[in-house]
Amino acid sequence: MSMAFDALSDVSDEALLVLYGNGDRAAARSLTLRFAPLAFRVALRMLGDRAEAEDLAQEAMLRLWKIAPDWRNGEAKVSTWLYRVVSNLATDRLRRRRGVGLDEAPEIEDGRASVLDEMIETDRATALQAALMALPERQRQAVVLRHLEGMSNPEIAEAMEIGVEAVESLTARGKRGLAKLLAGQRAELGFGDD
Amino acid sequence: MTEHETELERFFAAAKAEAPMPSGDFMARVLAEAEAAQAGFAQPPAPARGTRPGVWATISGLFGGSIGLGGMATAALAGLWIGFAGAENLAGYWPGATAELGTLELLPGEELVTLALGEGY
Repeated sequence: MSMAFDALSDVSDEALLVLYGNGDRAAARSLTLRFAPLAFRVALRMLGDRAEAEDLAQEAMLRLWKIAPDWRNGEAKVSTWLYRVVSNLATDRLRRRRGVGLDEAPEIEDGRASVLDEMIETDRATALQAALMALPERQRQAVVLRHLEGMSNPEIAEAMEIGVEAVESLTARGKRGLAKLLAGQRAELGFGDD
Repeated sequence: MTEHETELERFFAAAKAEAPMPSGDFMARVLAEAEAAQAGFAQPPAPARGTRPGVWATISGLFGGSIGLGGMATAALAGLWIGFAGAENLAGYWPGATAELGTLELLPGEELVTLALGEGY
């Protein structure tokens, strides 16, 4: 399916959601173009499964549609709200998948790096995604939002419903974990000749 | 920035450049749900259909409704019949139909002209 460009590109996200809530059909299309790919992208980074990510992103977008009539301008950014919903839904799914609570999530051990050895793809993006999947969920979430989605620490704190210091801690630990996981891939990914 | 951080930044840059895109089907499903949800929102009441008078009702109203139109039709038919049958045939219905009407002069008579000239005009 091909979609037209965002005809309301100069309208803010929040104003667009209010327009949508008032029955504006063009706003529905613009919001879909702006936020559905974002929800899918974050969901895929968190879950590592394309079909499951689309399913989760669709659920998150449905929640956005339903809250639109009650949306109040100035209360929150639509993007932050959506990041929070996607993150929470992803956390729930990962918890069900694993069958244990978040507090029981293990920290990275050196042996986890061997997961990457099993990968067929050798490009950096794929390797990073694999390494992200090896991180504990909260670290993965913080790293994705900070370094791949470009959110600020206060925004991430709002999305993850934690303090800014906790975000900084999660991001730092996540990056250390990624560096450790990716260390074994350096030669294959072209860092050996640098 | 340490060497490891620089390397990690390259991974992040590669991942952003290779950002996964959702399928067209997914986008269509999301948009369909958006429109379906929107259709369920409270809408302002639409104007009731059929309250605007039609052409016939408008014309009828101009002549006083169906009773007025009926009277008009009767008068038109009577005029048509008189035109074809001639006024003489109306005598049975109205004795004065064939009586001569008195004349009425609408222009100044001869006496008035004479009087005016006699006064020096």
